[in-house]
Amino acid sequence: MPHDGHFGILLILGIGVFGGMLGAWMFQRMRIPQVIGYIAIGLLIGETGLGIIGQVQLPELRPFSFLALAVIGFLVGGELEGKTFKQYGRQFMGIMLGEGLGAFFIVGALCGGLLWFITGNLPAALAGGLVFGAISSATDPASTIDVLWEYRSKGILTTGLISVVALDDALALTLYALGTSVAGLLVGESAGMYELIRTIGIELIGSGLLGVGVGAGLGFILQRSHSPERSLTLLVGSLLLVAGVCLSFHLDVILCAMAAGATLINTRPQLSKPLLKTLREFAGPIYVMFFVMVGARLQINAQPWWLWVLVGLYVVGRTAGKYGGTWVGARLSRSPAVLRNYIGLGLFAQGGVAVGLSMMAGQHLSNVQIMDGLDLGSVVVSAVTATTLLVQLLGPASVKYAITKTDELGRNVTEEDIVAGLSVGEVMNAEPVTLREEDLLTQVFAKISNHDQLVFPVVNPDGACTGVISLQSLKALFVEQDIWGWMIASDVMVPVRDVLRTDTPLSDGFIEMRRMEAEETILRDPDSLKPVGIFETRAARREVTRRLVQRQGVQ
Amino acid sequence: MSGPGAHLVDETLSPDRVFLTRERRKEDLLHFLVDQMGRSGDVDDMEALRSAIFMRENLMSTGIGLGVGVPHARISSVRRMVMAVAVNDQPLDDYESIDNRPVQLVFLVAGRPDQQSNYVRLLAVLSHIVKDDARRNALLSAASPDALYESLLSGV
Repeated sequence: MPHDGHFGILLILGIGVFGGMLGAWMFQRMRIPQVIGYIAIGLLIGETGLGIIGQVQLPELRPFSFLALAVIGFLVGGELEGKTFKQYGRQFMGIMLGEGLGAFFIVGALCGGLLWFITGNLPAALAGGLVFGAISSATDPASTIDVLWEYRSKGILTTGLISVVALDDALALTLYALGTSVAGLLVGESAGMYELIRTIGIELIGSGLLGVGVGAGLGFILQRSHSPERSLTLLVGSLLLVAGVCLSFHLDVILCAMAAGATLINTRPQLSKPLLKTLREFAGPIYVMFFVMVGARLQINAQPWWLWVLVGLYVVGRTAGKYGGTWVGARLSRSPAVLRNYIGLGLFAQGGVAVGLSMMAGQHLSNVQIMDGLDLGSVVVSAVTATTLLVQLLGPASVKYAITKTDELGRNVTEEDIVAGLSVGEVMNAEPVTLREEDLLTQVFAKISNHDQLVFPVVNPDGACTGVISLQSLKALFVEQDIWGWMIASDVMVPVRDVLRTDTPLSDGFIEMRRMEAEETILRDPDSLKPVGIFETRAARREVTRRLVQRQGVQ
Repeated sequence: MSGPGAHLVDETLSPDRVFLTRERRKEDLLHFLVDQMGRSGDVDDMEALRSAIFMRENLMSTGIGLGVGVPHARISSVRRMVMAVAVNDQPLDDYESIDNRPVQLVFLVAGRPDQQSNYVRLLAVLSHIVKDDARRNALLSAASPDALYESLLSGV
């Protein structure tokens, strides 16, 4: 144990990242999205579990969380390409309004009704209902998108999910501003209404404007930077600035970074795509740590029994509201069936925005006593924390279910991904036509003209491959037909170079062939020396392309 | 002599590797020629050459017809492409050939594995020479190794 009884921040970060990776690995083995593993490890090492990360350290880790939110926001924004909106903008907007308002009304009605039933205090119940409803409309972009990336999802559902989760934070903030204002009116705190709307208006508009400015500025500078390392440094620097400025001026980090990412991808698409790829690789440990801290922050304390009923109603109502609202929104905006039936399943995750709003509500509503010793603010904080835990564990699994059902899982692959998953043996010609050592050249030429192989293994009576004849090596013989009748394959074959094995990774195979400046080679069984296949780079590339098209499917 | 590759005969043959022989068996004639080739400084490993020549004959006899045999092999222990020539006093009945005629004129060729193009060209030149009846008869009737050598190089 450290000398002051607390673990240092760096040690906590290290434990968090390693523990998170371990959790992800364990959950992935159970075919559960890795993000749930991160959060589970967070719960384990947080106050609820072993207490390694306590409430004392959490505030110290807050700046790190904001950087993570900036990185996540920027990456989410980078997914919002204008051309997608041109095609499906109306549908995505319809779905976003449907799911947000669906959750708002159903959660609001259920939670408000329960609060009224328990407390008999109608204004407080209405106020609580409005605040719960507003908070429930937000979807967590980070964990949702983490699942989409983890499973390399691609297609209209994936694009729709990214767009909706990116946009519905703004809806949630607006609903929260209106809801809390009305709630304030209902419980006699109307003085703050104008101020609150103004504050949230500034937060929304200010975040958006700052983000657009940062994105445009980044694009301008990046166009003049020709070094990828310098570009990444510049980008991370900008995101630190975004996080810092947003914190100082009470702006929304994730919205601001999202606007910056969206601005960059739409103004300099060629420039930003490789940069976003690099940032995504760089963001790995930040992601892990962020979600571990999300888990560590969730606290489940002793609460009155009806709070658990409230949590249940919230989760059920939010799930029904999001799914039903999505269905209605998709129907009204004439969205394709795949969006109408499945996008709702991908919108259950609840994260940073909801928790942040509940903290704000905790302050705003701390004076509203609903029972002896219990204020509405505390109820909101406790309930949202508990519901976040529940839906954060269910949400990512549900996203995975949706992309699996719509067959979008695994479609966002590149040629490199396909190559990385293959061995030489999987793409070689495993049934090569062979020549015998004693075949006359007349027979050799007859055989070659009937098959489109570029190289032919030459085998002895035992079937062992003793040499190779390639079209290239026969060039000198084309004009010397006088000798075709008495020269044999063995006279013109060249020795086999055993450079590849069937289990050689395909990427290594391509490198080796490039190094040899060869287009094709024979593979032999190491023991019997019998030819087991022919590796032809062009045929292998064709097979990779075929598999790529098959994996990506027709979208 | 003229035509593409004709210079190869000059480059690969030397007067000390041209013989008039009196062997009675194909095997003996091949051993004799390999031994003579081995004495030149161009063959580093005579036994490797012998083994390669006989392995090739095991696959298929190198009697190419018209009483001519062209035993040949490519091995790495040869410094450059070399040739030895023999005219036997009698045709060898045990030297199988594609037209079933016994073999009397033998060209033994050894080349390096990386000399495929010149190797093929030399064999083609030899095939071309022996298909000319007048030239083949001139070679078979050479009275001495020097005359055989001159006949090969200068043509008829």
